[in-house]
Parts: sequence; C-alpha cells; structure tokens
Amino acid sequence: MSMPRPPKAIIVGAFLAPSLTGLAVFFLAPSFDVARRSLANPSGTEFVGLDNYATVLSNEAFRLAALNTAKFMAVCIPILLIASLTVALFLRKSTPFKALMKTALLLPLAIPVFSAALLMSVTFDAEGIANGILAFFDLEPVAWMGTDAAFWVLAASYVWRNLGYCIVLWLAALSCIPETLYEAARVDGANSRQIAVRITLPLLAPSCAVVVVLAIINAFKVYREAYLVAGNYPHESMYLLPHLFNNWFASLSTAKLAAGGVLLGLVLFLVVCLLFRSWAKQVRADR
Amino acid sequence: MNPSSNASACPPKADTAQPPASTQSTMGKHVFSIALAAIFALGLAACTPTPNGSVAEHSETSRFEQAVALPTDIMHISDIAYTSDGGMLMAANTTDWNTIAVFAKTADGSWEALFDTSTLAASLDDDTSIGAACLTPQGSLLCTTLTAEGDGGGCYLVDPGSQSEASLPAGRITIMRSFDEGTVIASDWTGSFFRADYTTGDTVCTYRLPSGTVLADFTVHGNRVYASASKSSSANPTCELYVFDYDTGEQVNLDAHEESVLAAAFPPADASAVATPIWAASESGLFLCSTGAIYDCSGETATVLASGNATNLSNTGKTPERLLVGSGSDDIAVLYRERTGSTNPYTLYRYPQGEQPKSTSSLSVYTLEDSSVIQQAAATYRDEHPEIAIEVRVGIPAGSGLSADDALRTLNAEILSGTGPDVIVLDGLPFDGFAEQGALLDLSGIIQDARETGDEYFENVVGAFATDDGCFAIPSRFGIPAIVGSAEAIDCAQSFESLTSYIESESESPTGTDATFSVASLYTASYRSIFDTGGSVDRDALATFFACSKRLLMLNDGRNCENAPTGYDYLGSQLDDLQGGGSGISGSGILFAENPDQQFIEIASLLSGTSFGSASLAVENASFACALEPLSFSPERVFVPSSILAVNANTPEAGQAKDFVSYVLSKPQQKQDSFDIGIAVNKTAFREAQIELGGYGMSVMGDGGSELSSVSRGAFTEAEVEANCALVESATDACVRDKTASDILSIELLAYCRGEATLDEALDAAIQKIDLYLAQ
Repeated sequence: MSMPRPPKAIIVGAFLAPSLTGLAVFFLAPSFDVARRSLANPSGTEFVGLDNYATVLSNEAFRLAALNTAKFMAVCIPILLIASLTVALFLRKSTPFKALMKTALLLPLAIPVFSAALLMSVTFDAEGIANGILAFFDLEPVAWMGTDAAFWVLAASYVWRNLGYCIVLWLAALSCIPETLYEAARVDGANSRQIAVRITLPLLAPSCAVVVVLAIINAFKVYREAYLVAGNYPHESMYLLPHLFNNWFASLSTAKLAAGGVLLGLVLFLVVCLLFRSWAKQVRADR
Repeated sequence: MNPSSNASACPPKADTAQPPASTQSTMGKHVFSIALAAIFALGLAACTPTPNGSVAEHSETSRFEQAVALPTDIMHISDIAYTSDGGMLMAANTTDWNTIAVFAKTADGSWEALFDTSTLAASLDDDTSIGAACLTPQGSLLCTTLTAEGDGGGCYLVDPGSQSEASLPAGRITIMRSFDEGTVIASDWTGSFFRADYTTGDTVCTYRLPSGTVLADFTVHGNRVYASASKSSSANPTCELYVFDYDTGEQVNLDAHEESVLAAAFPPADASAVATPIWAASESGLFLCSTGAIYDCSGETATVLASGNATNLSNTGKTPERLLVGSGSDDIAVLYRERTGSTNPYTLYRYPQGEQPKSTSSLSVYTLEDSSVIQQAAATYRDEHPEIAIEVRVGIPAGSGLSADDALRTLNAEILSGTGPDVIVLDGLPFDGFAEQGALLDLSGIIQDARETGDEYFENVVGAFATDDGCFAIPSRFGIPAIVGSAEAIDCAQSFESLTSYIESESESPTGTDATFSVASLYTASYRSIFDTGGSVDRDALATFFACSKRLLMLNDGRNCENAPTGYDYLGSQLDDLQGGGSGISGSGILFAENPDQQFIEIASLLSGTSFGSASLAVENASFACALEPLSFSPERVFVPSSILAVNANTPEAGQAKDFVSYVLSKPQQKQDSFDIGIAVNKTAFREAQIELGGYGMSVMGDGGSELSSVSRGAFTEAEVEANCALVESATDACVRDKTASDILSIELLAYCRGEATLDEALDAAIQKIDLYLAQ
C-alpha cells in the first residue's frame, strides 16, 4: 500500500518556503521598514505623512545628485552599450589576438577598486600623468578633479572598468544566435549590414534589457572610485546619489535617507519594468 | 554573470580532438587566468596588512586586573620590584625630590616605609641633590647625586640606619637598575647604556645603541640584556628591540625562532603612537608588556598572559612604566604613569590568575578619537566601581588607518539598531543629527545635580548645548584661543589681516620679532567671521583666513623644516587637524629666545591650568613687556567645548551612564590637569587646582643635561585665580566647529599652501563643497 502523495501545492510551498522566508526577512521586511521610516519623523515615532518626501524633493543636494546620476546614466550607459557591442561583434569574428584582447579588456574589472582609484588619482592629479601629457604638448594643465571635467573622468573610469564585462555579456548573447540563421541569410544574399540589422540586433534585444540593468547597477558602484579619489564632497559635477545617501547616513538623517531611498527604488523599479516590458514585446514580436 | 566563471563553465572535452582554434582558446584562458591571478595577488597584497611573520597565542589560564593601592603623595617612583617572598619593595619620592623612601608592601596590603635618604640629603651640599636611584637585589638603595649644574656627582648605597659611598662613572644618570651584587646597569643623559661596578666605579661593559635611539626599558634574562628603545629618524618614532650579551656588551643576533617569538609581541616596525614595550624577567622566563598585552616570551611562541579592552593595558591615558614579575604565578603587575600629569601620577595593577569578579552591570563609552580625559575618567571609575565593567571604545584607534567616515558609519549603524554605546563623546560627531534623531538623553538634571554639590561651574560652557527642549550634551573641558605678546601685537590682533601684517613687518625689523602659532587656534579665532549662524561661508573672511594662514606658514616654513626629521611635512602637520584644540600656550619661545632683544608672539590656546601657568611665566619673565589675551577676530571672545558628553537614549544603563557623566564633571576628575586636556568646566576644581599645583617652572637643558636657564613662580594667588576665571568667563561665545566643514577647509587650505591651487580655486572648491554639505 503506497502512502498518499501530499497535494502539489504543499510540495511547491515546501520547496519555496526557504527562499521566500529569506526574501521576506532580508528584503521585504527591511524594505517595508524603510518605507515606514520615510513616512515618520527622524526618531521613527511619529507619522508625518509625505513631509519627508517634500523635504527630499525640495533639497538642493538631492536634486543635484539625482540630476548628476541621471546624466551619468544617460551618458555612460549608451556609450558603454555601443562600445561593448561593437567590440563584441569584432571579437566574435576570428581575429589573431582574440584571446589576448578578451583578457586585456577584462583586466580593468579584475583590478581592485583601491588600485583603480589610485590609478585615477595618479592620472588626474594636478601634477598627474594627464597633465604631464598636456604639458608635453605645451597645453595648459587642467584641474581634472576640481572642475566639470571630473564628471568625464568618472564616466571614462566607469566605461573603462565595465567594458570587458559587457563585452562578455554580449558575446554570450551572440553565441546564442544560431549560426544557421546567418548561413541562411548569406545564402539569400543578405549583406553584412542587413544581417546586423535584421538578425543580430533583433535577436540581441532580449539580452539588451539584462545588460542595461546590470550596467545601471554597476553605475551605482562607481561611487566607490569617486569616494576614494575625492571623498564625501567631491566636485559638484560628480556628486552622485550614493554620495548623498552616504552623507545622510553619516549625519544620521534617517528620515531623508528613507524617503530618498524609496524614491530611488521607485524610479529604478519603473526603469526595470519598462526595460523588461520592451523585452517581452520584442519576444512576442519574434514569435 | 562572472567573467571568470563564464570562462571556466565550458572546459574542453578531454576525449574530443580539439581544432586549432580551441587550442588557441585554451592558451587564451591560461593567459587570462595567469593575468587575473597576478592582479588578484597584487590587489590582495596591497590590501593586506604586512604581517610580522608570527602570531602570539593566548594563555589557557585567564587573568584579571586588580588595583594595588600605593602610598599617598607619591611624586616619583625610582624603582619597584617583587621580593622573593611575593612582597614588594619600592623606592619613591613622597615629600620632596631629595628624599627617596624605600617602602615594603606588608601582608595586609599597606606600604611600610623602611628607610629613606633624608640623612644622606642632609649631609649633602646645598647645591647638590639626589638624582637617579635603584634597589639592589639585597634591598639596599643605590642613588646618585647631582650638582646644580646638572653634572653627576657622587653615588651612595643607603641601608636602614647606614649609608656608604659608592662609585659610578661620571655623567648624569637617568635610569639605573641592579640585577646582581655589585654592579648596576645605567643609562646616562646622552643615551649610552652601560654596566658598572658600583664598588669601584669601573665600567664593566657598554651596550651600544645606534645614534638617534633613546633607551626606554631593559631587563636581564639568562646572560642577555633585552632592551627596547625608540628611534625618531623619521616623522614618526618607532620602537626597536636590541639584545646584548650581559657580560661583554656585544650585540647578540637572535636566531630565527627567538626573533619570531619576540616579533609576535613587539610592535611592528611601522607602528607609531604606541607605548614603548617594557620588560621583566624572572627565573620562569622573559616577559614583555607591549601593544596592550602582557606576553610570556620564554616558550616556543609568545603567549598572551593578560590583555583586554576593560583593563588599563589598553588605556591610552596611562603609560606602562614598569612590568613586575615575581616568583609566584600570581605575581605579575604593571606600574602605570598617567599621561595627563595628574597629582597622583602612578597607579599599580596586579594581574593574578582567575576570572574577573562578576560585574553587575556594564558601561561602554564611545569616543571617535582617543581622549586622555575619558581614558583617565574610565580608569578611575573602574577602580571605584569594580562592579561595573566599563569599556572605552575608540572609533579610530591610533594607527588603525580607519577614516572618520568609516567609524561614523559603524557608530550610526549601532545607534540605529539599538546596540550603541551608553555614553558618547561627541567630539567630531554630528551633534545635530544625533539630537534630531532623538538618539540622546536630556542631561539637564545632571547639571542641576552638579550645582547642588556646591561646586561652581563655568555656566557659559556647561550650558553651551542647552536648548528649550533640554540639554543633550555637556562639555567637560574647553579651550580658548589666545595670544601672548607685546601690547602692540595684541592691539594688532583685532583682525587676522592686521596681525599677519604686523608679524611680517616685525620679522623684518632689526630685532626680528618671531612668532609661533597654531593654525587651529587661528581658525577658531576666525570661525565666527568665516561662518554665519546658519553655517554659510563668508567668502571674503575665508579668503583672509586662507591668505593670512599661508603668509604665516610660509614665514615659518624654512625655520621649522631646518632641523626636522626626514619626511616631516610641516604644512601637512600644521593643517592636518583644524578641528583639533591646537597646542597649549607654552611661553617657551618668549622666555628662551636666542636673541635677548628679540620680541616673540605666541598664538595658541589656553587648554589647561598649566597653560595659564606657562603664560604667566612668560609674561612675568619676558625680556619685553607682554601680556596674555584671548584671541578672537569677531566681536565676542570664543571658547571651544571639548570632551562633550552625551548619553544614548536607547541605553539600558541610563542611570549608570548619567552617573559616569556626573563623575567626569565632579571635582576630583576636573582637577586633573595637563598641558592640553582642556580647561575644567568645574570652576571650583579649576580654582583649587591652580592653587594646589604649587607653582610652575620651566628650564632649558643643554647637552649633557646641564641646565642653561630656568624660570619659576609659585602658585597662583587667590586674586590671580580670580583674574584667570574672569578671563575664562569673558569668552562667552561657544564655537562648536563643524567637523565636516573644518575638514573641507583643511584640505583646500593645504592645496593652496602647497601651490596646488590658486587662492580663487581653493576658495571656490571650499565654498562649493561646504554649500553642498549645507544643502543636504
């Protein structure tokens, strides 16, 4: 006589329970607490409605940091995506130094963040390598970290460190496109541009959402280099949201921190939703 | 997705013939792996502290700390040692510097005076005094005498009821220890280090230390002399270990095993700001008190016998001066000397085997940077309340390399999670953030209770943080920026610009007026003109501060770097900590100018009763008419609160924490005085300490320890004390400097002074960053 099998729902629930518990304890509960604190006074004892949101949205530092962060994303992510995809397409073809190039492009990612920050300092210091090069060409030195150039230094650092990673992601996506499609296209007389526009790019679109999300996540990590090079209060052009959040935490401004965190979370959630929605649309269109 | 895992996810199949492309790919992976490994190795090497190659083990037997009462009124302890029966002998000055008494510790724990040098002192010439002294293994007292010129004179062996003349090589001896019958190891003023036969006066052998090295402590174990010394060849002094043959004086090269054992206990070579290790030896082994622990170095590895945050071993307010080891297993003790120069400078603690008696409650005190005031208060509070386990946590321990930001984040996380310290020392911490968060308790009751004890307080200071909502912090100390100089200099000190111009013009005069100044004190004096009440920056005032600071620093740059050790960064050291209290007024420049016609200006801070004493010595003995005045470039005179105490609102030990705050404000604690710990907020304690201190003196020593020049004065009179109190109370404006803003200014001013930025660039950067900070 065999034991009666438990209902499927119980089995599914049993398998999901550990991860759901972890999700609830380590993600949902803290998130709810942050949301609660964003509606409370700094000591968390009194409900203040949307006052904290109003304070944050009218806060000049928040507006500057949000604007800089948005500008950083808007500038860096397209550059990163285009550059990495271009290099990935180039690497996909068999080239004499393919392995060496892959290694070289991935090296910046493997460099510890302290070393990367040190490299930035050595290069863009008032008497650093960059100004040394300018001096060689009899050009005026630039205060790289003390002017608006700081933004572009940070952007370059981000692209440099993340290019290899994105190339790997693109290469993985490219390897999923069946070779037969290319062969069929070539048999039908399609040229390289037509193959790229009609086959490669449409089939890379689903991966694009993932690459963009990862690029956004990594864009927030650029704060580490910015902090190590220029401290808590860098030039205003490179003052990003993580700087502000870190400073709010240092001054124990928890109500502003919570409200700012919720706002940022909502914006990122919307961006991710839009990306995955467009991805889903593309998948449906492909079918 | 991780690139490295991606690369290894598709290994080539072993049973499949690989086309050439795959071979190339495998090679590529190897190249990739090697490159990654090299980078990780370099990265890890850069991030890992350099180990000294060996690690100390902890003893299986635990020990606890137990205070040992010393006789009252001890001024100086020349020598102290365990006797073979577990008792103690101590040679110490109590009533005056010429009388060294030998005490024995009795079975009931009290100290019995056995004999002293009063008869010897009476037999000496008027201009001869007793210098160094040590106990011999037989319990006699060997002491040297000094002439008024500071030269070494005679040497005597004193016993109960008798004294006999002994002999030592000429020279002024500073440290003396006897390890066997008839000889003594001594160090003279120049740092040489020798063993001499005190019956004949012959030098048996010399233990040579490299030039620039100063002997700190030594012991004899086996046939070797183990010595620790400090060396100041670079900007930071380091501790060094030397081992010599006891009989020949030859330096002994340790074998790898011995080196490894001692390296585990000795501070690393790159450690700075640590107390120099001290030694002891017994028949059972060689012991070292170093880096906040007591080590037994006689085994296969160095063994930690005692350590811990809740003991004085980690109390940076006390310097371990002697490590004592007796024949019994419980006979380990450390004699500490207060760093703050208290009227009771010594404390003695035993470390017997066993567990610390159970405490009924605990108290943690947090301070961002080490504070001798807090360490001292915690140590005495611990002695008086053994039932309370009190621990001082330092956010940025010396030499840790931690940033204030890292420490602050850790503290904030603890406060938010409800596990924060009980008492918080707010120096350098965001008071407004803590208060707004509701993280601090109202301490109004403490001030009220303190007043009811009958003590008077400097009300302008203790109430500096009082608001209508309550008083969430109480300063226990404070400083006042001040100037000592001629009437003309003081007249010019109404603004930074006129003061700087005066110093510049006078420095070029035939007599050459010289000046020493603390940029931190000048910053405090300028603070109210630079920042308005909302914290916004006045660009013109900031420009004046930057430009004048640079002009003064450049004026002194060459002179200060002339004899500086290699690597000394004059500008960096001057501008490193604008937020700090600055240096205390010393008066030495005014008193001991090389050219008697030269005038001198000192700009520093009144940071203790001693500052007042030094200033009065300067004013009374200067070769020109000069005076002391608080320095402020704004209409009101300012003071800077320090050692600011607050209590965590979430502490379960609120009563205990408040009691500790009251304790720090109490008269006995407030009477502690030292060069730079801050003026006491307890006015009664301030008054009494100024009178009880007895007087002030200052001398200049020449090569060989001879006294070139000296000045002294008696204790302040009642009228002088009242005048000092009036001067203190004339500073009515609490200048609570914002650490973030100060740090920003410090960085930009340094860049400007080093020529890395123009004045406009430095101002733009500073104002932009401060505006950003304020906008948050």
